[in-house]
Amino acid sequence: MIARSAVALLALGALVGLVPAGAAEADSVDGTTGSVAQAAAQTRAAQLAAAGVRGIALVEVVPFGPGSAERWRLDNGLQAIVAADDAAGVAAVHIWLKVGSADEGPTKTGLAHLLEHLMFKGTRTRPAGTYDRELEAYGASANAATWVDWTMYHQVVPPAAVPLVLQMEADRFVHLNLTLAGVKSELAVVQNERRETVDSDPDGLVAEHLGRLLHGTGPYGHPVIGWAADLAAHKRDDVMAFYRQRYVPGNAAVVVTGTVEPTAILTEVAKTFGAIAALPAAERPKPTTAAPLATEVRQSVTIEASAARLAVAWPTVPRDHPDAVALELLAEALCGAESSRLDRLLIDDRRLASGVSCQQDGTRLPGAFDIWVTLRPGRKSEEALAAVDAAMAALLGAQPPTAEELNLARVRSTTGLYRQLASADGRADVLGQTWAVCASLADHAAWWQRMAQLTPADVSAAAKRWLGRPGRAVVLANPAPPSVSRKPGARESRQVAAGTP
Amino acid sequence: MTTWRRLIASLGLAALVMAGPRPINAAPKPPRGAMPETLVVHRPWPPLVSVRVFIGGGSSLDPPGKEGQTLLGWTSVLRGTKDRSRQQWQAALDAIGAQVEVAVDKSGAMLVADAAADHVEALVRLLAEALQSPRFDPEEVAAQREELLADLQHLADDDGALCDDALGRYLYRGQAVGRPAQGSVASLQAIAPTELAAWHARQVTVSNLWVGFAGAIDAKRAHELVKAAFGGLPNRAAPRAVAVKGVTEGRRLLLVDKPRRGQTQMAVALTTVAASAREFTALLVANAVLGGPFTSRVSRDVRQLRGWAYHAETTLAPGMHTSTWVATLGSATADAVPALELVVKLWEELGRHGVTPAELQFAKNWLLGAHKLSQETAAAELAYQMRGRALGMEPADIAAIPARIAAVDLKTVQRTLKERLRPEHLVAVVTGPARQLRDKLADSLCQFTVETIAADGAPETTTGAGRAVTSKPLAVEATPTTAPGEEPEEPDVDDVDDGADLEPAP
Repeated sequence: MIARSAVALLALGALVGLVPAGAAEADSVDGTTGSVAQAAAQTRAAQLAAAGVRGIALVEVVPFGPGSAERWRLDNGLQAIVAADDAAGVAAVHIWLKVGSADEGPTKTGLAHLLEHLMFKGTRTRPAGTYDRELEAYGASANAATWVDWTMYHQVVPPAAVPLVLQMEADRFVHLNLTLAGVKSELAVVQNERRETVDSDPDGLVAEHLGRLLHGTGPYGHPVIGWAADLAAHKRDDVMAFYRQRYVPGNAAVVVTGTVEPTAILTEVAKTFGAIAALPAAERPKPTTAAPLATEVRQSVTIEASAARLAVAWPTVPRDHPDAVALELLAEALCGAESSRLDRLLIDDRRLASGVSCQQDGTRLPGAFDIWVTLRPGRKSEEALAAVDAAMAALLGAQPPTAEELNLARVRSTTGLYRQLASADGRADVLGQTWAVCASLADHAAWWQRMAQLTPADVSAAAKRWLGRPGRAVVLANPAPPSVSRKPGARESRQVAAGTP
Repeated sequence: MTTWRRLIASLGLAALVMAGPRPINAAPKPPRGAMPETLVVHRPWPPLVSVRVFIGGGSSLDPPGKEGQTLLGWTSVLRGTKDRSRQQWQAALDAIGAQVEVAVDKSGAMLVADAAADHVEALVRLLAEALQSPRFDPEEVAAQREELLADLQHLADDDGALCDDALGRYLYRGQAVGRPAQGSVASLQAIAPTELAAWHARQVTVSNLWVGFAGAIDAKRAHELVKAAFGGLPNRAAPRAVAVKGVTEGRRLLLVDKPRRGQTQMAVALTTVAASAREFTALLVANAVLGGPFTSRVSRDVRQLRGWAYHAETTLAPGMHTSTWVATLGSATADAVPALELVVKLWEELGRHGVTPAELQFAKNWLLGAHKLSQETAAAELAYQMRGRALGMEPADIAAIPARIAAVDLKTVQRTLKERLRPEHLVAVVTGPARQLRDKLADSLCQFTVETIAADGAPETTTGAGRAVTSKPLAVEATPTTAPGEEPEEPDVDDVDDGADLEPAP
């Protein structure tokens, strides 16, 4: 049961304009407060029962976007999240799975992502290419993504095509049919992707080094796309074993947003996914709050690039930790705009950098607070590190974040949320990701409510708790000196071989 | 890091909007009056307003030796006004949570901004202030120049972007549109702040400006804001971009050497009819068959069946004088030449045999469906409308595009392909290790004439500063895009080239 304060919701609505009139009075499903959205959901439950739709129960109703979002649970454990509105004229259908690269074992890195690719290779009744072909006939374009905590499949379609999408998604959820040739060709595609986005991309390489330094052999220590050697060794049986262990109803949510009729959607979800047997999911890595690094770990690498890069990361907290929102607001305040503190210092005043960014990871397990700097040609990453260290020392000492900085960061964050929620696909993203990483959909609103309430003292305290620690990871990436003559294919002695653990 | 199964295929939607029947090289229209044309796409939710300002006259107007002037000009416009320093202007923008991005291409510039609905008036005022009274402070121009020079160097780090950039210049070498919009080290350093001020005075006129609003704002309010903010613009004839000619020099290939890369990026292109030509719609459909959606011929044969690329697709980029049909793909170096040969073969087969009735119907369904889905958000619909308007299409022409696609028949497609697809004039750019690729490319079935340059020489090649490190059989020519001393033609807004690329980089 979810019960939250109506007052808190109204405050959130005032902040981000997410709560339409009449919809913010309550969101609990215990029947004690009632609301238009709640009443509609209860009516829907009765309609479903009257229509003979069994094995589906309402879990929560939350104000969301231009209306509300409902979360339902099928008896087999699968979740159905529906947020209907009249504005879009389209429907977004997402399948979210609580399966990511953090769930892979040693030597099996890249398996979750490879499986994501292979999910488009057909089923017993729909040969390879059929899935895309059926959707393209509507003008739709299906795609998917894999992250450390989740995998998601998404498409935007005309509302009339939603039943077809659900049928095809349920089909490949249990009836994936992989041929050896199909696995081989798609593995080659993924290897191409790795060469393109990591091995031939200086930023991709730096990210890979940083992740390994920061998380070691932990669940987040290897790249989502996998180490090159592991990728090359994956077999069809590995993929199918992972699929059977992880693609089970209890790990999955169907998210539908846009111009849809929720009762019809839920009926279709129950008919398609409801027929899938409940199976136990493989155990996931357990969340902890312990920071894994006690001291700084630093790596210098040579990159084939025009300019140096610096990446610094402090181990911090998971998304559901009370400090997470403070750290995210701090990241926005430090690097979110041209007039923000680190941008001014590194780009304008010191003219060291051409770009700087900060972020607090929104992960299920403890993540990190990162600062990334792309230097101007000719400048060294060590110069940027010295400047960042000085700025962070000031932040933690005499120059804590100000109320004005945080207010501006809040305004920018809110505008960013509007951008995301403007499309049905963006709204499905928010709902799916919230479900995959947090306990309930209500956590999304709670997050923004918390952000509205944060004081400079709150943010300063969180910064001191997590960014004042000695344990951190630093990657100093500098281009090879132009005067050095190299044979084609030669590797710098200090460069860690790309794509190997 | 989020890794995608594959890159989203180009839907050719930018192309759709260019397919209007408006004649090219039309006589200059008289100034429309005291107010810039204003487009509004209203959606009540979310409480966000996107504002777009298009200014005609792009990088093809940059004088020889001053390439990058348009880009330096528009980015410098955002670095302080007569009343506010850059810091003050930027702080005012940040205070309302707004973002402004600038995109410049050969035909114009687009400023794209958004803010919460409560702040739209302040946003429009700030944009108007920057556009109408830029300071062009020498120190700020120097700082902006430094940033652009850094961007130029960063370009060499992104093989895909480097490949695309080199293609634009290599394909249209010798023409004004082949000049690099981002300039070169030498050309950027040659541009003085006073020249920017003079350029700005020519470009910013009522008839050369369109303002668009999308989101939680109604038309009445939008027009009021434009009237208040842009009412003081000068009212005189607008500049005119230079024409683009089709490329018919036979097959040629530029190999940009990246000695230690294991992945090779490739772009193959040909020029074809103007977007306003009757046959363009048929080519749009043919492009959808060749390399539009994931199940198209190129994606299926290169990626799905062989695993030779993470991305492999084709795009028909429209132009007012000539359109560019491009295939792009990235392959392991060992697979690069066979993959390139396969794409060329698929193109040749399309020209020889055309499309099947089933492919035609499928492509039309896909284009029409994708068009409808792409108009979901107000910002997307506005972007679509503004691209069309910036190219001189009337609203009725834009609205007629779906009907025109629906009406294309098989006979028209086959005839158009026979007449307008010229694979004998394919032009390619390949970025990868020259040592491994050069001989294979020269000997390939594609029969390209291969020219090789170093990656760091590529951005300057077509402006005369390129460094040809190897050549087989031809050295890269340092090809000035305009004869020495030649001035661009007097610009006219009705003669701008395509604006299909006018989206700020993400």
